[in-house]
Amino acid sequence: MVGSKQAALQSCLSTRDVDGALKICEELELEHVGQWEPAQVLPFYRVQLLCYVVNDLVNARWLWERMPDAVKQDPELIELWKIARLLWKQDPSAFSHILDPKWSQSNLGELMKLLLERLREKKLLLISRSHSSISLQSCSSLLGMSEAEAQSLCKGKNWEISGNYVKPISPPAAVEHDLNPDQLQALTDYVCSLDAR
Amino acid sequence: MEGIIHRIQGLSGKQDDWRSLVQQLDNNLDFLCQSRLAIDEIYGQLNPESHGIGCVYLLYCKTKDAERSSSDEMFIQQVRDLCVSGNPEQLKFVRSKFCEVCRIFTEICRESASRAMFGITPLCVGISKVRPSPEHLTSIHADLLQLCLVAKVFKPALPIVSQRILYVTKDCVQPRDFLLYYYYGGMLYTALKDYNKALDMFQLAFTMPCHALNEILVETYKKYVLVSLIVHGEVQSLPKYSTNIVQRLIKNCCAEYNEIANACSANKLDELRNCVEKHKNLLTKNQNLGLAMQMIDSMCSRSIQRLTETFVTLSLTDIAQEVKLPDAESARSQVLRMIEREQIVATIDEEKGMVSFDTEPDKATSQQLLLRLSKQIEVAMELNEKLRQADEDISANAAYLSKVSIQERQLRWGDSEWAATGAEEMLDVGEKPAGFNFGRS
Repeated sequence: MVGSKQAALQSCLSTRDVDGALKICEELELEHVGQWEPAQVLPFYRVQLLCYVVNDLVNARWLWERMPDAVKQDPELIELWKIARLLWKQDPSAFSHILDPKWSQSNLGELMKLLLERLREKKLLLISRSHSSISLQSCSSLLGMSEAEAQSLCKGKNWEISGNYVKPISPPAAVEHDLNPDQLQALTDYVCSLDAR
Repeated sequence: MEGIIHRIQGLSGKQDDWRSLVQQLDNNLDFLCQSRLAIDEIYGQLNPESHGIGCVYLLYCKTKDAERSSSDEMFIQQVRDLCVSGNPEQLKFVRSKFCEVCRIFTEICRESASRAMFGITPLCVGISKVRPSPEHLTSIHADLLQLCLVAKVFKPALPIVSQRILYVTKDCVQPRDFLLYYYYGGMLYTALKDYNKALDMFQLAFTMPCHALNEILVETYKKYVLVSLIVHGEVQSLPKYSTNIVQRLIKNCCAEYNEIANACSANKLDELRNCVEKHKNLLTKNQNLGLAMQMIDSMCSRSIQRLTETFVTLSLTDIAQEVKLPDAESARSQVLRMIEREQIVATIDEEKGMVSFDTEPDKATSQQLLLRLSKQIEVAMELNEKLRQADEDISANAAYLSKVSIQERQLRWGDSEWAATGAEEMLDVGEKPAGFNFGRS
């Protein structure tokens, strides 16, 4: 039972299937809570917490609150929870914990990489939306990388760099579509039904 | 006892026999309740998949046991199997008894968090089996949310609370279940920080037609005040369709909360802090302290939001000064956070230390707006159709028609006293379907 679940989980982890991994963990939690030894459920809790950290911080917090105390002693879980809290506070020092080389040796390595990529993607978008000019230093701290790395990343995006400041280009507005026939049909229907009474 | 088992096994197969099976079980209810101990021995001979009705009755008799504790684990397992693998048609047939069994199941499960977690999946499945349609509320809805709150697991309940409820299942829902469902639902959305939906839930609870205040209403209103302060910065006035008695009395029941709301609307952070500090004990007792703290936090972002209404550009230091933040750097991170949450549209120029607020609506979203609008129209038309149907049902209702005709006759005869009482009684009929209040004249 445990073995088959773990194998399924592992295959999700290596293919970066966050939703699949989360589903396995959530089902396991609801079905078997309190019946298995802490050591058996620990790997599942780790994955579940990290999955929540990737895209659902609110639920990460509730998971931590409801975890059995025996499980909460695990140093890796404590570390993950620390990351979650820093991210919630938007504290850039979260990156130093995420970049910790020890993750790549554990089975969470792929998920950690995914978390890092998603975070940087989000922050890049945020920078481009919110700044007309930003110092290299703040830029690098928001992205969790060195100033040199940040500079080359910005260059790659064709953002103008003058002295210590970067001038991001705001994301292009979504292309406006014309009304499609379905929508026109729907509108006609409304008018007809309003007319009918 | 053996005879009962044989009858259950014999009469469960065909739908036509169910009525007589229920009749026979009802006749033997007292006997079954007295021989509870024997139930566990014979229960194994039944199988929820084919003998759903019998299982529900036997478990129902077990719930009548005053001292259940010895066999709790077994009972939990039995109800769980019944929910997960029971035949939906048979469960529907004895819905009110099934709901009672689920109620006791919930009461046992809520005693510890791990048990509560164990009960969530069965109740989810149970609800989907016994509700007449997804738009019907059952008493199990409130039970499920209660377990979710105890276990602090919220995701499994989301598909159920996000479902729009238009009808109550008459044979198993009491007004209390209705109130509790919306109260717990609001709490669930609050826990997930979806404050707008929480506000809707709370509002649905205390706009229910009623003749007296009760404690659930008051607690709901307290949470409503705090969440409303978080979302809007003020307490929104009660909707016009809330019952008179609620409009008149509810504010008197929570004076402390009104005081907090007043402090909040004055926009003075210190005053608000003092006020919350003053009522800290009460807030802790009501388990609302966390919400109150979040309300204080939201005040800061609201001040920044207000600045966007007056200024086109403002320096970071000025912002810090206006909203009482320690320095420009913390103002910058606060503004950034608000842009990220899409609370404001602004661009920061770090080189010059300025922020310019963009008041023009985003042009790129007009397509999305159109989509949203057409979706809303669709919902409104659907509701309109439902309302029309409800109206038709009432105008064809015999009780309603007889009242109206009596009233008309009395009016014609000019007996004003009779007409007055008639009109009053008619109001009662108009109020009966929850939420709809349109007496015809």
